[in-house]
Amino acid sequence: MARKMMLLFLAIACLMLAVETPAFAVPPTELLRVEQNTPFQSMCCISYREKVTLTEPSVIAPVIVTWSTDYQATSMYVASVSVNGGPCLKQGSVLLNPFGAGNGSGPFDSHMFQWVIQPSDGLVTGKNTFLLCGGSFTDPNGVLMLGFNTLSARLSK
Amino acid sequence: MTTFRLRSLCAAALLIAGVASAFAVPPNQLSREILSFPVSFDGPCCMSFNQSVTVDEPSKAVPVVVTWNALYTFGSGNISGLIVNGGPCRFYGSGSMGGEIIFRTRSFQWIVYPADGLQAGTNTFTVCGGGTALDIYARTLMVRLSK
Repeated sequence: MARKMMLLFLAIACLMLAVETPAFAVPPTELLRVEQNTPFQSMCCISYREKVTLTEPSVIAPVIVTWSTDYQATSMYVASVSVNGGPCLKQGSVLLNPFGAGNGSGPFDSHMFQWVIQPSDGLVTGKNTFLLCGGSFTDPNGVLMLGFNTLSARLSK
Repeated sequence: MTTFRLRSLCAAALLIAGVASAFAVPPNQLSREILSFPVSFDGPCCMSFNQSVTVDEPSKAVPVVVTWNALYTFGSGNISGLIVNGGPCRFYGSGSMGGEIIFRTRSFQWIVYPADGLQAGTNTFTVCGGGTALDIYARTLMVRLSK
């Protein structure tokens, strides 16, 4: 009986460990590093062709998506995330102010965005895709040049 | 029997507590400097900005995410990057510090893959960069394993 009790408690501890581990893990598909310049010219909203994926457990938790980028922009540009092919959401800070020539020459500025995606934003159990999206805020002729950047997604717990 | 049950519960609780602490961010992975007087760097890229963190990789190295946040002036034309394990100053993502000379804050997320020079055991990450004059008033640096 005593041995059964010990095994039961050890099993509970192991189960808690198994539940806790995925919350801290960040598989490589949740990370993206881009090392080239890519131009865009369009009103919002189009795909910026960068995405990461993340697997949600059965009880869906919020996701933190972080995007850190160098850029040039000749007009104010929007940047946000499309969750699982849905609309380009506005989950937080979204604006890139005009800076630089927009053609890759001369200095770049940088900006880091952190977006909190709630379960009600379209998260599902299993694989979730987060696609970077956006476009010009006001000027259809405005150009955005994305430089080196990183995109990551991680579960909030 | 009750005593045994209590002891078993305590053992399980200690085990779980150990697991939780294992997931806490170790102090060597964090650095924070809030300065009364700025630390100044003057010169072209690339030099060490003298702020480092370390992380212990498992036997099979996994990617790491390094985040740097800084408050600075005279950032015009400066770029920032990372020295990994004493190697060259490289750019693992965004690094431009903008074009203004007034106070500004910027945050950078850098992703370093095993092929970038990560190794099993202790790995050191030092912020580097340069361009023109740069005065840093506050900065935080954090590294975390991807899994």
